[in-house]
Amino acid sequence: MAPTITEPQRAQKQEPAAPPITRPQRRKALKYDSLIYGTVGLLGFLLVWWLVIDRGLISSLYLATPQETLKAFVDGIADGSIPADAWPSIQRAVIGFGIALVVGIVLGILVGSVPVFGKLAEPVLLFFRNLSLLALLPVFVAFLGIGEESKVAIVVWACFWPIFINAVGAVGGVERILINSARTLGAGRLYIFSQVVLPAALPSFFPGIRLAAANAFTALVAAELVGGAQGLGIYINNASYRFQTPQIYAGILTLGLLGILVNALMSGAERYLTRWQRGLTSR
Amino acid sequence: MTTAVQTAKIAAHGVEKEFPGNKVLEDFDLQIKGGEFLSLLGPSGCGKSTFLNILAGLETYDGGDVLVDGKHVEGVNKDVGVVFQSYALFPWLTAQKNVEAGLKIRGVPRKERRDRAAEVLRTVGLQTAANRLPHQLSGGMRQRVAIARILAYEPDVLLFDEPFAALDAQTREFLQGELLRIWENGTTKKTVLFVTHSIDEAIFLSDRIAVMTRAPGRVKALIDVDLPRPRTSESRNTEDFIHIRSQVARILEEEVRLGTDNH
Repeated sequence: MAPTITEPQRAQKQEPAAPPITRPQRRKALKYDSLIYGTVGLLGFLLVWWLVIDRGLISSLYLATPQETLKAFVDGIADGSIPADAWPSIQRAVIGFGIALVVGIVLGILVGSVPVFGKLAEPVLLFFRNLSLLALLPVFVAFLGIGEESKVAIVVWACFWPIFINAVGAVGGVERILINSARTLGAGRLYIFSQVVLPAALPSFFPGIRLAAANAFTALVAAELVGGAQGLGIYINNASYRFQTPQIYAGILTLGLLGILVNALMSGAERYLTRWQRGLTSR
Repeated sequence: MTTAVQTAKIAAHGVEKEFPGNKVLEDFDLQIKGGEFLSLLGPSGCGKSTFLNILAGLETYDGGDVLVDGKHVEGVNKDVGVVFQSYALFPWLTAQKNVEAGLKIRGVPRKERRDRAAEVLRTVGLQTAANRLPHQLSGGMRQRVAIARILAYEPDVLLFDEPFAALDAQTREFLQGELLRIWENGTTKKTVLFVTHSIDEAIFLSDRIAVMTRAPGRVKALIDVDLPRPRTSESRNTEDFIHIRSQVARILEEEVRLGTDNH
């Protein structure tokens, strides 16, 4: 058969179109999937919890049933005792996390973009990043007492390290060409720092930021158990002194729910701030 | 200082550049007149991109003089615009915002910035893509945004570092035509240094071609391209074009052969 000659495209005037933006269809199905499995898992967990008490495997003196816990939680919310203790905790966590976020990222970018700083800081970082927070509690109390300052400081400490260490690494991953292209556009240091390095490294900051957010409440409760007037750690401690087992678990439930909330907020922030990445191959 | 230096927009004399254990430029001389389109052509690794980076102020040099408007290049010059091979657009900014970047750095007010960016995007034929992110654009469109980005702040000197090398042949020819259209129609003729390893590209675009030796690189030959402007795709088929191509190819081949003999 003779080859057919097709009309060639006008090479001079045409340019291949951009690839269409496709959204996978499977995502929706997977979402319901995880919802169903998640519900089953949660119900199973509650059942086991209830059974171990109902069958007398664990004394209700140490472990409240799910129903009692829920009741104590609802009552605590209704009479305002849980919010009264949760609110100061949330404030401390947010303030501490916020300070750590700013300081951690600014220092992280500085240390990450100046190799000399990185080398100087290396041994000190190695020491502090793995040091147990609990070992440092007495130090914080000695310096700052058991008031607000020491509690916030502990949160700052616990949040700072993951953010900072992660940021140092993230800055190293910023493509040189982006910085060079900003320089040729006439950008100064401040512009490059805030408008190029920061947004370019932002997606890689998030693992550290998430870890820090999770650390915030852990560290805070430890700090509150040392003492103080109000806070979720204190709420739990007081319930324990009074043998109010359901209240202990209501306090723990509150912390757990706050953890889920924090995680959701972080995911939302991440999705929003890195929305330009959607559709890129790496995500 | 000689008069030649004073009239040249860009002048390089005896430029030396060495990376650890690797001499890239040696005794490199080149003069580019104001409003001239000059292509720097050479085998890969000959130092042509290094010279461009020196001129852009991104790289230091170890000896000789590099002058723009009679002044030594020291750091980045705000009157110079660079287009890189790998686009180098900010992936988190829309095409429009990318084009605005140079203006924002220069403190141009928001409204003016937006109007100017829209205008330049129209010039490169991308007005409909203004709100798209770089990864939603094809390679050719991205490179047009990169060109728009430097046109926006109106530098005197445009530097191109193999801007079309990563594109397919069809897009490449299209963009060469676009670049010429923009440059030839510009109100003030910009001075252009265009680094490439494509002979056809160099001939089609340039007033003059500087062919480099292999590393350590210097300018081996300067070839005038007397093809009439405005040039169209038909210019590629003229006898003059073909004649210049064989001339340039011969010079380049010699270099490549010398290079392989060395091994």
